[in-house]
Amino acid sequence: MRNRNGSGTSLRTRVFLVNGLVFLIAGTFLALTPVTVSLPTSLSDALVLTFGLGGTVLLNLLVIGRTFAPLSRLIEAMERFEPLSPDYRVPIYGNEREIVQLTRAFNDMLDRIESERRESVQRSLAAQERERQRIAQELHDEIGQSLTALLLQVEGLARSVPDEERDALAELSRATRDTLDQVRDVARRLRPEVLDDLGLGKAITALCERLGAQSGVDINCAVDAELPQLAPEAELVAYRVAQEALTNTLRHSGAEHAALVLERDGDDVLLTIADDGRGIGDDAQPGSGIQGMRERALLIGARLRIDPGEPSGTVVRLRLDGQPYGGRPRPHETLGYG
Amino acid sequence: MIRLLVVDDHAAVRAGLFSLLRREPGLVPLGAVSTVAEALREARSLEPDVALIDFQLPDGDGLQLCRDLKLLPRPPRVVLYSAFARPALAVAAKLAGADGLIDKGVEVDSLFDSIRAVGRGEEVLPPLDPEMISRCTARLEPSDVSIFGMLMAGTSTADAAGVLGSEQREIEDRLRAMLGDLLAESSTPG
Repeated sequence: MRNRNGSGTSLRTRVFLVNGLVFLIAGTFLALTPVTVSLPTSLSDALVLTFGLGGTVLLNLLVIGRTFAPLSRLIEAMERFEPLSPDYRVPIYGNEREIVQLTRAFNDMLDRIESERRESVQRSLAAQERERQRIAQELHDEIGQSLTALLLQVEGLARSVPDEERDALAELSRATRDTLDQVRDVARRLRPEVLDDLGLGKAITALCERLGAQSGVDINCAVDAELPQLAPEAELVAYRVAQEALTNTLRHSGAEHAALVLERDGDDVLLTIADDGRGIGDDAQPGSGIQGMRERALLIGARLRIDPGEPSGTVVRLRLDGQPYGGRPRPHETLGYG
Repeated sequence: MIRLLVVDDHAAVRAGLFSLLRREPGLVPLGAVSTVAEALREARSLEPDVALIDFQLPDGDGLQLCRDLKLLPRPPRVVLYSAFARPALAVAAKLAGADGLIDKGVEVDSLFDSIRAVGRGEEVLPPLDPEMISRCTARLEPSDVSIFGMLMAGTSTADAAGVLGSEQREIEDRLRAMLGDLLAESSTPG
């Protein structure tokens, strides 16, 4: 790339040279032509002065405009910056020192903002996960335990009362058990323990089954048996994107069918969630789940695309880099388990 | 007749279980305690057939307590009765030598059936998914993997110590460390 150091002519020098040149031309013109101005100023003198000065100023404007043109291009390029494609950097236009320096300063500032933003998103997502984990734990340990105690006592009572009163207690016992199930379900949604222990494929299959059963929407779930190993952070992102996309589908799209595919594509893992609902209109709220999905994907360098489906609906695609080499060993294969 | 010790730190769960067990023919609750320390003391003096223990206890966890109980001169059979959600608890329970793992959400009759089965000498553990064992193994110190394999295959810590030429105490320590590793949280983003 030419002139990375901005060692070209400075803008000040250019303006100085251009002005000098224009005055030189004007002066030469005055010296070499029979044009004179005398006192008192005659009409022809005034015309000569007006045209002479006007011409000089216009010429100056034209040449200086060309000098500053790279600045306008730089401004346009700066305005094209979009926070969700943070890799964009402004190309260096021209070789004027100030322009090059300004472009470089702007790009440096983007770097700093981007790294700051990345860190702050990372911190807030980590805090969000920790908070979800804490709430899930409390649901389990406190409400779950109390409901278990209640259930045991109701069952104990049911065994000690006459037969005719037993039905009512059986009903109470069933209701308590349902509530316990709901509490556990909320805890599972908040913190997918299955993901840590059983892996992305099984966690996503379980997610589809649970959401399908709860909503009555037919979710077709296809998960490749052999997926490349992903980092735990990437697995969590994929799980959250699947959860968010399916939840959006079930809550807002009015879809009758949804499909989720988790497949291997070379060394990558490709997650696709499609539905036949209304599709995401322009009225999708910023800061909604979609924003969250994008932020999560950006954070681990995964690529997320959300497109309208054919003929209707929405297609969400997430591409994650696998770890083709140096992945975690799979010791059970050498131990003879499974 | 199966003589039982109940260990749970939640008073209402303890009371509910105790009264249910007392009513159930063939099951005799000897006592109900809330801590690891009390459980060990009672187990030593009462010598129950089965200890029914919760996972989360104020002064330790059910898996560590399970190991302590298994080292008593007359060890009880151990059933973990837990609301703990991690699937890997099944692997940890197997490793700790528990005889049963029962979810706190199951029907009371099913709980009684499991206690009777364990009392008869059967094992009531959920099936272990190979993928899960693989993920669990990846959380261990590489040097522990061979001990893990032996213990999961049912070898006692004393026998494992004999095979590896080390002290049983040492194997017990590694085992307890592994129980912690198995249930460690994976990283969240950040």
